[in-house]
Amino acid sequence: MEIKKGDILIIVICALIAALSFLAPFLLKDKSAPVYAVIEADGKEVFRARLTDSASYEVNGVTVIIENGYAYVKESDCPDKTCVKTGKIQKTGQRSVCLPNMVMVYIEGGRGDDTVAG
Amino acid sequence: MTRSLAKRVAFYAAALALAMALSYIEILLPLPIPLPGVKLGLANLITLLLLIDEKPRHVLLLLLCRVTLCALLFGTFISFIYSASGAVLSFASMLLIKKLYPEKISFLGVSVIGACAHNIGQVIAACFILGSSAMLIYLPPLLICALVTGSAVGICANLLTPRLKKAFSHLK
Repeated sequence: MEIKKGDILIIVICALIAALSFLAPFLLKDKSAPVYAVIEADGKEVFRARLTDSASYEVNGVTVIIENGYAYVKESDCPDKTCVKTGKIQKTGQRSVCLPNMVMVYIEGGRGDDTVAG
Repeated sequence: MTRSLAKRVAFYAAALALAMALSYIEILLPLPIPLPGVKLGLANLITLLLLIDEKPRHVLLLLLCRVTLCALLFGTFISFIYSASGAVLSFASMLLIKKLYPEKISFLGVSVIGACAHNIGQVIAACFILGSSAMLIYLPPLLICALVTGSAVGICANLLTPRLKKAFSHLK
């Protein structure tokens, strides 16, 4: 059987749909959905601020800075400094963890939040 | 359809066995793409070829038999749900496109539609099972893979049909 014009059309349409579906998350991005930086210490949430706000918070010897849409651990008195080296986090699901001090900073809300119903 | 019942049973059994063998070959040849649910779709070749002049409900029955048996042999219950939902959606869309434009498309188009629909069905099933829309992230790359694998299988079907017609003409 020969390849027909309809085949090419179908492939082009499917390719377009696939390409558009790559773009969909960006187009559908809900800018109004607030994104939070959440700080947990000893397994409990101790602080939460919008990523667009500016704030600093200190807990268990860890200093967390939230500014310009980023959150990062500025200082820590732990030996390994993994949390400081993790650097700035800004996307939902990203996290910076200080295991020795039992402190965790993570981003919550906005697009990609698993609580959005399928 | 003037074949006797015995001939038809034998023909379908052979087709089912062939489809299962192709499913198994697929497992032996994993694609080097780190995506969940990506596969070649070789077994769809049988569905495509059967759709030429078998009754759709018979083809659907064979398809469900193949999916069930393959899940029992090589898969798990969860993998069965994924492939069954993919298979049903894929079958429905292939049938639809064949009915709508019987003269304008060859197996290539039908196969591409089927492959894309299969992945969409799988992702929808995954969203329901996991209770989250997070799996939708995988849809775009899966669709790209489906375009490639669907085209490959469709071109295979295009090349195979005249040869199979010649080889099996005495069976019909």
